[in-house]
Amino acid sequence: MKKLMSLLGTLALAFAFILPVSADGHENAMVRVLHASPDAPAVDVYVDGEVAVEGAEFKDLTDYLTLPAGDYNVEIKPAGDAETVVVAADLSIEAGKFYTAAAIGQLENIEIAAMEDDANFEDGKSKVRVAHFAPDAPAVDVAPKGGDPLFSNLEFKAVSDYGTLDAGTYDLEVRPAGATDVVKALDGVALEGGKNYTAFAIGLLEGEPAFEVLLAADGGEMAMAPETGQGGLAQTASMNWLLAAAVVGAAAAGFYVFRRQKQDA
Amino acid sequence: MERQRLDSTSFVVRSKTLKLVFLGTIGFLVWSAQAEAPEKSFIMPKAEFAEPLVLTSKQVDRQSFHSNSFVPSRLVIPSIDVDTSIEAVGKDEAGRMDTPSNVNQVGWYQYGAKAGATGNVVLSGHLDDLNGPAIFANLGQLPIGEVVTLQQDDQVATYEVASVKQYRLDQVPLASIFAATQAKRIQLITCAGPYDEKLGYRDRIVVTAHLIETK
Repeated sequence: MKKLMSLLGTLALAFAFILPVSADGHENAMVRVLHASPDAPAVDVYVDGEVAVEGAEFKDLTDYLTLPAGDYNVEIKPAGDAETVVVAADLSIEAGKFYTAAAIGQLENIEIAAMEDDANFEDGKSKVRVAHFAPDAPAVDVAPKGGDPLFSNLEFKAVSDYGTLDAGTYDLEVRPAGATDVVKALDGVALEGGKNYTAFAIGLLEGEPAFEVLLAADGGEMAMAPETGQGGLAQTASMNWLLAAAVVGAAAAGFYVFRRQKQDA
Repeated sequence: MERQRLDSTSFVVRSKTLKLVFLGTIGFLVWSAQAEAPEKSFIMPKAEFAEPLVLTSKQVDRQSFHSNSFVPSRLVIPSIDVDTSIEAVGKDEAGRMDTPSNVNQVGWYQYGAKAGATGNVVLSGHLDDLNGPAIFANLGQLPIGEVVTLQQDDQVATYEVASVKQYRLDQVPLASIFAATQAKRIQLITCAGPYDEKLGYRDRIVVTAHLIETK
């Protein structure tokens, strides 16, 4: 897997040189936010002082937002309380790339973890990674039921590299690193070909909200808005408008002339 | 003498009328110029949420992704008299989502989601052609809560309109339309706003509808 990953990395790099900036990505980057802090309240997320996400609760994952590439200051505040900053971080985002920013850890140690999401897709394959955002859980392995780990020894805050799997439905399990007992069984995980995924392990092993795993599709094939008109309607519309204006104008002129003549008479 | 006075009066009146029309025109131009002036180069987009897919150990339907999703071949929106076939499209050389070659059909973005699947199912349709209205001429009038269906033979995915929004071209929330999402929704796009010979239409209308049923 490691070899494959580094090969993929090389390929990705090669592609990056051949295609400097994709035309469809514009100058924009795509960013989404995950609330993974189990005991934090609902929050608002501010980007450079402007609110971008309102009322995100634990386990909420936003859609991607389009932001011009550049450097941003991200602040997380309790929902509706613009004065209090729970945690802040600087984020540098590049054009055409996808990112996930997650608020992780328990409230007293809350921090923002930012990661780049893979938006290069492979036909018939799924690229998958695991993010360990469950603060009280030990280091874990993620493996097919009874099999060898696909992802090993992930500690809290760790985000694995993407691994490539054949599209299909898998029965997986989360285990303490190196052990065979099962922390969490994940049955029937459906991975679609040509899509990439992040599995976020969140929550608390002991206490509430309980430990669980979210599966999110990553990235996307961006495009610019389609050109969906040729102006036929606009020309008719403006013709109609001109015609209407002419009628109104003529009527008004006639009325004034008529009144004046009446007054003079 | 009498005759001349009347003439001069009616001249004054006429010019007054002209003045009114003139002032009105100026006023309209000033007003429309103000309306056209971009208030701000960048407006912070607001994120929307979708329910995340929680993986569990007891999934009854095993999250099967292929059973209920399909490549749509027909779009039906009864409330605006749309019943048309669908052409799969990609991107044009400028990196824009492509449009169908027939202006009375709609284009389905083949890099997005299939009908009924998790993600954005994106459809583009023309507002007009060179001569008059095309398939999505009335998209902007689509009421919230109306039903939109995608079909392929006997498979049907039914969606309910949640929002109808108009954006300046440079403020269309592209990531909400084209990037991955946990939501199961369709995004219908057409042109809107003033038309410019060189730049085309200034705005885009985006209709978002959420999946309510597949069969």
